[in-house]
Amino acid sequence: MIQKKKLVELIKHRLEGESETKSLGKLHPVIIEYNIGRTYNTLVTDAIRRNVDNADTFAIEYSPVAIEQDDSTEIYYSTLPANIIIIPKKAESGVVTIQSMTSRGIQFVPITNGQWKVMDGLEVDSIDDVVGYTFKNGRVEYYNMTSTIALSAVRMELVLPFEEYDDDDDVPIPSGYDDLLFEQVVKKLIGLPDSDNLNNNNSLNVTNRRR
Amino acid sequence: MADTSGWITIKNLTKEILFETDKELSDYKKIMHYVINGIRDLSLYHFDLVKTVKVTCDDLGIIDMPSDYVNFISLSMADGGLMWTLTRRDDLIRTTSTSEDDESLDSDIGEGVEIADGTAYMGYMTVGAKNDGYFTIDEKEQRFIVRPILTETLFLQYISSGVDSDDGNATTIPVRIKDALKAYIAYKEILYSKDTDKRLVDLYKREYREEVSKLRFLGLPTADELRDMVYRNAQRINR
Repeated sequence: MIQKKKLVELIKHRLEGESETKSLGKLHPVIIEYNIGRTYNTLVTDAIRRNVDNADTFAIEYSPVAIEQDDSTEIYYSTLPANIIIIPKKAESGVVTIQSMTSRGIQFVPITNGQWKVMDGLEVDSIDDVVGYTFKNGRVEYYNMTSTIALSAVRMELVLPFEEYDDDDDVPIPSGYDDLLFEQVVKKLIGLPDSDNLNNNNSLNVTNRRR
Repeated sequence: MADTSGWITIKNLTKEILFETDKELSDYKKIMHYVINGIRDLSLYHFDLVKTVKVTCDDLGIIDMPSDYVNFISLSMADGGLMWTLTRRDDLIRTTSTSEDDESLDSDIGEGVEIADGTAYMGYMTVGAKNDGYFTIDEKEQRFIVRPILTETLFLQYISSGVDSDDGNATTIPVRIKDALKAYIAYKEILYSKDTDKRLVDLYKREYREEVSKLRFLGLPTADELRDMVYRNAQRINR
């Protein structure tokens, strides 16, 4: 864990020590933050795609999260309390776990969108009462949800993108990933052109006067 | 309460497989699907999961098949603490008439008409019993037809698919079939998987067969049962 603003400062400090970036002058923290975000999100996505158990390290818990029903489609859903990392071909995407607030007997399992489409009418659908969930339409949608279960709220563990953390929040970075993150962000920023310091609207500007 | 350590729910078995194989939670529904198919495969071809249940015959002499019905054994009524089996007659009229969405029997065309005693079983090798109760099986409509209605409550013995939709994922199965079921799932997963080496299919199939033969071994008669069978049929010969 490292505080977000400390991480940005650390990388800024590291860049100022690099001969290639010394000449760049001041790198705006927003630029640094943006590049950390790109790298961090890619690293997290790769780690979870390799093994979904890795998601536990990055997960942040939210509770209670309400379950609502869509009036037109009658589908039960929860609005996510924060943005998540979207991981292609992983049923859970950035929603690692969903648990009932009231009973451990009620279980939730992630299902893919493909499973959702074909499951209706299958024997497993009529036999099994475990609630399936999938990240769809920017929200978590539930399959096999009943009105009784929907009355109780749920607890969610989510994997957040870097941008979702506030400056004072701790960002989870597991051991082994910190060096990799530093290295990749610095590499990205070294190749970045310097900011344009010219005021092109200024008539006294040398380049304007030459025209 | 009875000791249930010899039984496991299909939900817990599915979770056990996820736990043992390090599969992801998103595989849960797929594994449950294989568990259901595996139980049915084992019940149909490798071991008999015989169930005896009380069934109720309605006014039209119709008994609905249980949801887990796979094959028929017997339909009987109580007779002095024993099950007295009804006689199967497939020439029995099994249709019903419908008026204003209500099912009824039209005696003009023979529906529900009582079968005259003694009209059957007069031929070769007849056992001579008086047949009071008859039934037939209407597989397509998933029901039994009984004539005449001697009693409302009857006993049905049948081979179960092992998965009861009323019990849902709380359906219990004997733990002795657990290993065969796990081998079945491993074999089917490899068979249907897009990415795995198909040479492994034979290996997993052999493993499944081995588990099935172990299961069959458990169903073989014991030495005492075999001895009893021999002694019962042997006769002393005077020399």
